[in-house]
Amino acid sequence: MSEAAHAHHTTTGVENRKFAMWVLIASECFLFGTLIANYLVNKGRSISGPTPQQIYEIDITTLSTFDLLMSSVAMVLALHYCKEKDLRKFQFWTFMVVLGGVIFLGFQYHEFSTFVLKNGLGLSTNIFGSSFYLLTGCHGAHVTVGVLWMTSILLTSLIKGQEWFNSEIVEVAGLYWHFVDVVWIIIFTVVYLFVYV
Amino acid sequence: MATAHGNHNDHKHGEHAHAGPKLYWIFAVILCVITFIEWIIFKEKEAWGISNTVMIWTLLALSLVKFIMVCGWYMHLRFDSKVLTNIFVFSGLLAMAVFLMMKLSLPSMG
Repeated sequence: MSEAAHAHHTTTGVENRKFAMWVLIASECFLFGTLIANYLVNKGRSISGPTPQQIYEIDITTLSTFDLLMSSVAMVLALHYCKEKDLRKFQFWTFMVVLGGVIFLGFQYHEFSTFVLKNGLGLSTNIFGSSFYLLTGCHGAHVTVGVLWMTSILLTSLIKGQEWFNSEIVEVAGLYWHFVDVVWIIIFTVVYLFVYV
Repeated sequence: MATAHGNHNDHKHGEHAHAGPKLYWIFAVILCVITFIEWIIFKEKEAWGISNTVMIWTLLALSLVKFIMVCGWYMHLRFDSKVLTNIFVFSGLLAMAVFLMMKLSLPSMG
């Protein structure tokens, strides 16, 4: 279906899918706001270790932050080339978004496995562990959904080729991806860099 | 609700927003530099004699800049309908209110 067929007037002046995504993002703000507050309240209340100061690997987390920021750049470029109807560049940058997401999940797998196997911090070891895994695990789940979503868009464009160009769908997926990135910007600062505060 | 004038402006701004990848790459470099500065501040805090208070506010300001850049330009909030900005800001303020209520109810929180 062409993009012209999708275009229609709405009472808000915003395309319905895009508006719905922003409402979802608003609800996700509550979710992550609560999880971050829960972490900040509980991180220093553990009776036994390990504590955040003992186990965080800030250098690796900084690398994963760079990775997620770069995937956001790839996302906005994918949308740009989708609107330009440049199939090859759109597919390339969409692939880079997926790759960035997978690498980020790899970093998270490394972090979680190090915490569990090397430091002995499980989900129920102490209250810090519970609140940390709940927050970062929830974010990781969102990244996983984003990776699957972008993969489906990439595969659809590969199968349908030039017939498939729907910038509205890519824009909505992009909003979700950027929001996941924005949440990580906050988590990186408040959870990781404020470790000694 | 967007007016005819508003839509015209949105369209005009929209064109500006999609001017090209050059702007996105400039922003990408700035985002990476800010993240690098955050990391350096964290690493060299004691060597440079930075107090916790200064570090907290500096890092919060830097992450706020990154937040605004991603939301404003990558998510196109700067060029989209104000309705979307209002939804996002309102939900963000409510999320912060949740945090403040927990902080006030648990005074020993860090």
